[in-house]
Amino acid sequence: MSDMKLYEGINHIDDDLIEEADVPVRRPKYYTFAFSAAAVLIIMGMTGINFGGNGKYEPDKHIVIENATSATVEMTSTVTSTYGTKATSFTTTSSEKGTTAINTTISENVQTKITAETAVSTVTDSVQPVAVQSTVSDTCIPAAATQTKPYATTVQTTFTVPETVTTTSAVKNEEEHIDNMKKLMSMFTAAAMLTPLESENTYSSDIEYKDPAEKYAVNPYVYYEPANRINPAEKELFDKIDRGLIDIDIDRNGELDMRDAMLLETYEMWKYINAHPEIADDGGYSWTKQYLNIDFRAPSEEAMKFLENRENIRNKEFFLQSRHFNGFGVVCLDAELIMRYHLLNTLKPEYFDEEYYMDTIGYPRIEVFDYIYNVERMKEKSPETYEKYSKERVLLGSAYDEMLQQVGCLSSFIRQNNCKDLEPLYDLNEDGVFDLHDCQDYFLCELLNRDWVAELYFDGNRDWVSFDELYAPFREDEKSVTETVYNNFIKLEKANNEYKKIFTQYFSGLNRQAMLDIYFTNNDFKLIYTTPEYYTDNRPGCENLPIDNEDRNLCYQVEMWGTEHGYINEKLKTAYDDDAFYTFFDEWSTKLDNSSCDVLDVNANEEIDSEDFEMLFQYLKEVLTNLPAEASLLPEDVRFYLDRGFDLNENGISGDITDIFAAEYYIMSRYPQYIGNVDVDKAYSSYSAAVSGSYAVIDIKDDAEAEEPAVSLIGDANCDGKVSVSDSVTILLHIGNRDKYDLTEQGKKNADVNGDGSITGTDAVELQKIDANKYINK
Amino acid sequence: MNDASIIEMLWERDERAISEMKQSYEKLCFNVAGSILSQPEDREECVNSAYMNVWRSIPPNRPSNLKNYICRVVKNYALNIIKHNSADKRSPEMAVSLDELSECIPDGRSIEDSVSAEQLGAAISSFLRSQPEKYRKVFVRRYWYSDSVEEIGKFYGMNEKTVATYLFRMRKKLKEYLQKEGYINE
Repeated sequence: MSDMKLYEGINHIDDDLIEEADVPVRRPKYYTFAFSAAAVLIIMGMTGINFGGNGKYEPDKHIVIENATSATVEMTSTVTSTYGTKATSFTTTSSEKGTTAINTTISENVQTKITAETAVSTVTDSVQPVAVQSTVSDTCIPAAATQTKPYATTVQTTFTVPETVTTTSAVKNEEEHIDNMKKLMSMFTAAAMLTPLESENTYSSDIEYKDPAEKYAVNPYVYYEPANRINPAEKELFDKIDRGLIDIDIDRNGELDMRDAMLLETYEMWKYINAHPEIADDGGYSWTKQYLNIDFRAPSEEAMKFLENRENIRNKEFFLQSRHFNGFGVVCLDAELIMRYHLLNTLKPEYFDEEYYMDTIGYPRIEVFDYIYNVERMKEKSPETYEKYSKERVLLGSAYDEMLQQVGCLSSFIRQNNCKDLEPLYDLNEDGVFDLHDCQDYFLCELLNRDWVAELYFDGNRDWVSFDELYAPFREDEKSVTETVYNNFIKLEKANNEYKKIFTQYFSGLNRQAMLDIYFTNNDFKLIYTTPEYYTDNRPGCENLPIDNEDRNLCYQVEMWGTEHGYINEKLKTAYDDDAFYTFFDEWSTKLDNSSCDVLDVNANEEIDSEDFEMLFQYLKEVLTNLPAEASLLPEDVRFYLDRGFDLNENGISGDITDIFAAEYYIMSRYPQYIGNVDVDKAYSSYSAAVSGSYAVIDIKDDAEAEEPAVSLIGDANCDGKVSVSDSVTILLHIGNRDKYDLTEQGKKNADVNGDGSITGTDAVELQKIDANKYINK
Repeated sequence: MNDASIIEMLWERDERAISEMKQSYEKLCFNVAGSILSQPEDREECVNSAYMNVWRSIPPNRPSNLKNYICRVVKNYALNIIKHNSADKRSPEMAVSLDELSECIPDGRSIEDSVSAEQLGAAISSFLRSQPEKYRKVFVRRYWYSDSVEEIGKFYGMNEKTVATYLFRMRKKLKEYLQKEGYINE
């Protein structure tokens, strides 16, 4: 009866809301007011009405308004965050005469608020409020940049509801008052006639279709949206869908659900392949042949009309350019977006039930989803049925497969949104922590829970083998431990039942994958996770488990996960956090914009240019592939500088992924002319030639008894008479290879910036800070 | 006859007020009752009881909006009848709009027992105020006035499908709001 209680609650909503709903919706169109105002002004000129001594339109002083009861101010609050700009409209009403101050709290789920401001969008109702002002005060800003917390702000709106009295200047007697009122009525009548009616077409005029992806692209040719997370552009689109700015009711039944996505995917795929039959001849897309010459059926004429006339949500041209897709690759971007929206927001088990789609897609109820395995089998069993239904199976089956792929990609997000209550059960081995051993145990238990476990080769023959067969060689104590785990696994599976339909596709692989994803969302990746030893240390005998069996190989999955997430290198395991990055970048780049700091002058040629960019890019590639310094293609000093002295975010790790991205992103955003066809080899060789004069001539003194010089200029390690980032580079070179890059005695004296008696990387970092501050302070 | 006159008649204990009320609001009352109660006899009982309640409660009350007042009374009676029928295992079938509202509560959960209808009403009012005008009006028409989607479409000059979409979005948002504000049992 919980919904009854809700209904009772609705029965107690405030009276003004009920009264408000009893009058038709206003049309808060800007042009409505503009047309009315224009008409008033035109007729003012025609009729010669003078509302005031100064000729200005001053409603609070000169217009007679009878029965004025309230004034409403519609405001728009705009919060600009790292995810872009989000506007919230709200309405403030007062029926009190005189000045009123009303507080309105608005909140946005944004990562980090940068600015918030309000603006009056429209002023409506029976009287014109005057002196409308708004001020914004923060009540909650995320404590840490990496945390997602709702940002909330209080907007105080003040305005005056004018008195309903007639001023003496405009109205001198009753006749004039009546005459003016008549004229006024004629004006508003004219204004009303000029005001266009609201369009009946509700899915074109009000919709704001603009793919924000471009905003997040590094440049028009570089854009990437990882499928396994919610991307900023995608999030903006989801918000627009929530606010009704994007219409995704594809089947036009008034409900937003997965059927819309399925219908769109099916339609777009069918339409594209029939328009491009050549694609079916492509070896990689041979499966698309099934779409040829199949009739697509929409659930209604209106749905068909919508499918044929709708505007694209995602900017396909941009994706073609930035992700180097062929035309086929961008066909279903919108359907994919809608699928992801529903999987993350309104996930329901019925999305995985073929009957759910029947009314929408209109196809018969028959093993729709097993087309891969069953088409041929059915052909043998019942040629007639096969002939009748195989086409429909193909259509819906492909869309369904796409959805399953998205489930796989987003499994951790889906889990976190929908299955939080399961997480406490993940500690299968009861050691007090949920870790990868539990993931491994889950995998083992899945095997144990089946009659057959693996497809293995025995003496050249392929066969299914039972768990008992595989498990037999294990030690007895190992078996008992696993039984304990197994009992916990059964508990987890029982709790899992609600979600089973969603997560038990394909051997429950997604359950295991979700556990892995959740673990890595909250824990750093370690290279040891990719080694079998990690899983067998505490459990001798486990090496015989089938952990290396293709896609069911946990190690393999972890490794793939690490690769996908850029964690393959020890240095990069500092974790690249997209949100934290932009927070850091915004602050850091602003400082840099206001300075002449040359920290990004990687090759120390006194310019930030394409060579720096290319070298940073090369460095990133080398780090990602674990290329040692001695094998680097970069000039030695550049590699050294990036390895040791390039800690832009001051996290103690030089040249980590945040440093590199920040530098590249900065150059790309500030110096777009440098991005393009750069001959890297040429850049390096010219760079080497340029720096040889600076660093190759080293004055080596062996005279131990030479008089120790005094400090001439602290930090001036290369003795060029000034302190710059070049000195930092010189120090780093010296630390790295004292034989090759020794300093002059004067340089050594100057290089001890922190005065601790030795020349270390700290001195180089101090120099960079001095260098940066010098320019920032300027 | 306008509302003020009917209220005056009620204050003067003039029984013609009942027939005037019927004339003005009978259709609305049956509409509201019909959105909650599926059985015709229940609706009849509900509306008649509501008239009696209005007769008894005015005076001392003097509602500023008689229409809303009557609707509220009808709804309260209808909900009581539903509760009574359910307790007796009689006809627990609810009308469509109640079914729709169940979407606002996650499966297997319910509204916190400690929350009164008044508190919930205040919370829902606050939620509605945070929504765009068109959306909240459509919501109130559907779940307070118990209008059908078709009627709402006609009333506001909107496409029926747009109305249905608005309602869908509002239910989804209300569900999120109730969860976020802690009105749903864990």
